[in-house]
Amino acid sequence: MTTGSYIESIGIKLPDKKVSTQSIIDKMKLSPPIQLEKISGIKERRFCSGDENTISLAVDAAKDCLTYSSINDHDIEMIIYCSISKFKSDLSYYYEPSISTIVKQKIGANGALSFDISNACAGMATGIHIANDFIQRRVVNNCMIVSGEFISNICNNAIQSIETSPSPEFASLTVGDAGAAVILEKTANENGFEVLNLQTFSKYSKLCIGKLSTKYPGAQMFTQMQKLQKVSISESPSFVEQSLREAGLSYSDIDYMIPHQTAKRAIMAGAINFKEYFGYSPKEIIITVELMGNTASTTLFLALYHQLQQKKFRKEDRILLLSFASGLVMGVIVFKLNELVDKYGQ
Amino acid sequence: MGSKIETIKVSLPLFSFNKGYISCAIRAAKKCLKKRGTAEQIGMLISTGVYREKHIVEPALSALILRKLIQRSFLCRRFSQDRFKKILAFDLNNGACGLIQALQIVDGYIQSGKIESGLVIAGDSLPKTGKTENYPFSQGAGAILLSKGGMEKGFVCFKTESYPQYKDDFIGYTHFAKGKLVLTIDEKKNFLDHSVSCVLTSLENFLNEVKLKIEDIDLVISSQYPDGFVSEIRDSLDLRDKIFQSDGTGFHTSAPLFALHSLFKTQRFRSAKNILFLTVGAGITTSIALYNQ
Repeated sequence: MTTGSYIESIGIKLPDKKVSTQSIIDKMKLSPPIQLEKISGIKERRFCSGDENTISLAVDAAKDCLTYSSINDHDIEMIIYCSISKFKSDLSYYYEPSISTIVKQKIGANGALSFDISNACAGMATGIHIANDFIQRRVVNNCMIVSGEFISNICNNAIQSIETSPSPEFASLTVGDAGAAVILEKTANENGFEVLNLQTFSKYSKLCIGKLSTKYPGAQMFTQMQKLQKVSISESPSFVEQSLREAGLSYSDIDYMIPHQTAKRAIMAGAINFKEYFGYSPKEIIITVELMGNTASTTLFLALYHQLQQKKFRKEDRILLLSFASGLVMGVIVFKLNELVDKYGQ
Repeated sequence: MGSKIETIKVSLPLFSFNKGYISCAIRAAKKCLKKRGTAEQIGMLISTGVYREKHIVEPALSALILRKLIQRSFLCRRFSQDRFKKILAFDLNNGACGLIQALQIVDGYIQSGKIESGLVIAGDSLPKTGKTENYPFSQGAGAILLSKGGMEKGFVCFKTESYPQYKDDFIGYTHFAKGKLVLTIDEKKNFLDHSVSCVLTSLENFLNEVKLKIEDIDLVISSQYPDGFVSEIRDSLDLRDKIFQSDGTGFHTSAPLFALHSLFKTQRFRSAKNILFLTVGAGITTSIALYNQ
């Protein structure tokens, strides 16, 4: 079964400033009891500097996306902004007006219908879910889903705050800043999404809480890492199986899986669990945390973009994006790449 | 075929320990679902409050609300898990216009048959943590349940427009000053005038699109902020008693829900054929919806 839209183009923005895991550990009052780099697989991540912020990351990603798109900026009909963070460079946090209003003006899509959504790390996946419905019903012909995650302040605050071990702020040490944008366009043929399924498992909603800090500028994130990982691993295979089955697919139809990029060891544990459950493993489980860390709502599209640039995929490859987020939100997005592969890695 | 309003409920803070948005939202949602009393599945829950309790930025507040709706407690009967079997919960933020946009999303999912019904919640917290400067809004929350409507009944058209030349007219933001987190509302003097002129422009566009005249509208349920907005619109369009004006309770995103709640069971609402939902907020953004019954 195909649905009414497909990924027409993807764009990203990574800040230039690189920050190594070792430099983060060196700044901490307390040495982590775990080998952070070995377990997370993260060697470095990017941090905003100077005037970079949530909006600039989103705008630069949107502009990059438009360079690969056949749709002009002023022809974008809808913009959904999806980040967790809404920080300006001075770490002031904007509640209103919506960031989407600002982004659309900055990229020249003034006539676009726009709003912000917030669904933790599943923000962009949720945006795709909503956009596809609008396109399917012909309310709009295209939609840009965009996010700018300026979350390095969570890491910086954890460096100052962690004084005991274990600490619920250890997961904060893995994050990095990035922007990502995706344009969906209507399709009348077989190019559309094969699976788009998101679900909230709210009994686990308190396993990860992020809030603006009252101690430091920016935010702090408190995660029950082991519980969250255990729940994600135990709940996800049956959710994926059900999502695929409803579309007449099975896990063995998947060529590549791109899971939410948290930490290498967690992703590998999930991959082993999937192999045991399904008795099959895709050609590759994509892991890109090594040089970017966990960039929240943008991770899936950052990973997809980099693999496209490296010409990793063929047109007929079927990709599964597996979204995990605080909430607990799980999302499955399945599609074939088709012409998207021709636009990247030239 | 549009979706119809099944029921609407509101909740005000009860005690000091549960006066935040999440508590109010849970009470309003529980009342909403209890009233409905059927076994149909709720497929979507959207929270549209702007000012977030304790400045929580993740998870979505809707997930925290949903958790309490499902959770068993000694005081409240748990709603059947089956009603929330495949639910997607997320937050939508677009100032005072987020409510109508969330209704548009739920309406669309119902129309396309993806869900049977959906719940939209609106309300704002005076965050317990940190300081506030010039925060003008009252605490409280409303919940509205939509389900499948009849032919040419229910919500039939939505339109959102923005006027970015006025994006600095109303800004709500936090900053860190002297070691404290401060929530500040920066409202320019012209916000009211600009809001009124933007709404009048958007309304003209909207009425042209739905091929109606303002005389065809029987009831207008609108934003109540900025102060003076309702009376300006009433006078500009000669709406007289067709537009609802609250008693100055100062709600933000939930204002239209409190207004609708006041009217929902009245003859004034039942006898209205064309009902206009009209919101204006920071951006400046306007959202308008037409509801037929």
